[in-house]
Amino acid sequence: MTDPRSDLAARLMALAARNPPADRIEWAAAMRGEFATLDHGRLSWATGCLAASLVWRAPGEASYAALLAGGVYVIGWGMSRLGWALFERGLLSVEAGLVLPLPTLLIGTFVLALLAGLARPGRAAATALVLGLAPSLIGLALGAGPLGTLEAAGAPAAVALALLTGLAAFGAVAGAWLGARPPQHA
Amino acid sequence: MPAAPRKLSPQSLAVLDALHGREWLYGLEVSAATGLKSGSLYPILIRLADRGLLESRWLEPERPGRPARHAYRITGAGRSALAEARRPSASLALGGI
Repeated sequence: MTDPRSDLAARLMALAARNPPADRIEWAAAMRGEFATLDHGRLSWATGCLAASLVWRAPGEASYAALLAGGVYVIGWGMSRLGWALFERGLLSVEAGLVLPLPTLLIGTFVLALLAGLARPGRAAATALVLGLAPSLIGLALGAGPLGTLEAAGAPAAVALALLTGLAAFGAVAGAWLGARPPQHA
Repeated sequence: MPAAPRKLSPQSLAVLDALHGREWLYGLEVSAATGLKSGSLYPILIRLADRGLLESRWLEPERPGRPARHAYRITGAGRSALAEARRPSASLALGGI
């Protein structure tokens, strides 16, 4: 029977060596090479490697998160401008303007997370966090946004945040799964 | 090109010391010789390699089916840095990388 601690060590080691930056690929392989020879102390070795890899991955994750949050802001701003433009031209009624933001927000969050997960399967966690939280945080900073939309629909702020983050996580994981799936051959 | 000389931490010196006078050592052997855990060892190995104080190469696994192993050896620049740090006047300047 597989020792659960050994299995955990292998999982941590795989996580540590996953998606290293280009200049750390060799070092990630070096860590794995040593890990493969270990009979004892595997968990300790893998945990240390994971800690080291988190440090070298942090700048890349932060850049990705900033880029994604910027994209969310631009899309949100564009959508609100589009809504106003349609309303001013009489193409969008007041009733529709009150009803449409909620499904747009929910579907938009899921679709964006799915696309981001497809494009960056290795960054599903960052995608879920950014797409789940960034729109609300940006909205709060600007005095409006997704939380207001969800709260208007009767959801408390904590529930609204959890719902958006959960939806983003679902989309990101689904996208990552689709992106990582090997191509099917006839 | 190696970076300009900087102060070496005691841990970095311990790594260079472990490699000094020996042929190629694996990461686990360096870890055993210095007492450094993997989370501290690899950032130090990377910085020392970036500074040209050690060199690395891949060695074939001793047992079939295992991945190749990365091994390390001190360079001439590494030996000079170690000698410089061991000088009594340099011991006061130990800082950290």
